[in-house]
Amino acid sequence: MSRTAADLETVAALRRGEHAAFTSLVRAYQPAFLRLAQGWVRDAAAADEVVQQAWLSSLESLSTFEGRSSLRTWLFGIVINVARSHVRARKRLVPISELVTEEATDGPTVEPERFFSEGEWVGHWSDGPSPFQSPDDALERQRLRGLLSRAMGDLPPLQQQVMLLCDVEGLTGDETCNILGISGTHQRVLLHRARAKARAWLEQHLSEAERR
Amino acid sequence: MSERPVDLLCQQLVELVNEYLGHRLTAEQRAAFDAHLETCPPCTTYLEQMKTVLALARSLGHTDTSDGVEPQLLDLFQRWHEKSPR
Repeated sequence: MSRTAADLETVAALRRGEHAAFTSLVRAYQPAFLRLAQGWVRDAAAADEVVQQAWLSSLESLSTFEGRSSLRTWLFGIVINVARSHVRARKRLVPISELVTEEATDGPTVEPERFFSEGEWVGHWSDGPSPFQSPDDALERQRLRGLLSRAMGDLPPLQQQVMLLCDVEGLTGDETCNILGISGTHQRVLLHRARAKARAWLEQHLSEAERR
Repeated sequence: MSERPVDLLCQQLVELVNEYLGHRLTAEQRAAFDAHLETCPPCTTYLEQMKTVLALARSLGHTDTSDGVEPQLLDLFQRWHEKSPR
């Protein structure tokens, strides 16, 4: 079955009231819903509320799903809309266009101080990166995953959403642009900056942990 | 004889890492990138770090979801279905 046919079948099953269809959808997307909501709504209880509201909004809008995008992309768009409405109800909501201006600015990927600024080796590393410990065992992988979660939690909202959608959820650049209403160029810059910051954050925290 | 790729600085390479990983570099840029990596351990480390970040990010998306669905979500579904038009 094609992706679109499978999505339309899921929607039909939901409209018939099939609990199994809803349960498998929740199992598949609840963690992603929560991650996306937490990018806009930091308070855990409020993020839970947003997720629940997003499920209700999704069900209530099911009749408008036509399969033009994947069901996953469509659902993620609803979560982000609900989360942003939640913020709007409580404080001034910064428009996406303003966030793009703030967060997709040019700037170096790695601090310039880490490269020679003059001499024969200008532009080459003066303070090169140390390799991350290889995440061989499950415990170390778990620790690194936890650190990356924290690193991503520190990113500005739009950079975080782009990295969540592209790198965590595995959406394409086009799908991410559609959900957030941003251009491909901005999506690439935001992703570039988000990954660079996450890498730098991990590097800093891992080297601090080693020194202790 | 093939032409020698343009020399890249480390500072330039780090700006191209995502385009490299996303296969969006031109053949010429890619050749310069690969040639630089062959002689530059710190840039190789940088690239490996970025690959680790991406692998970890992807694994965050594979969270175990075998837990039961919260009862309030099932209630929500039931209520929605009962009042939705047939």
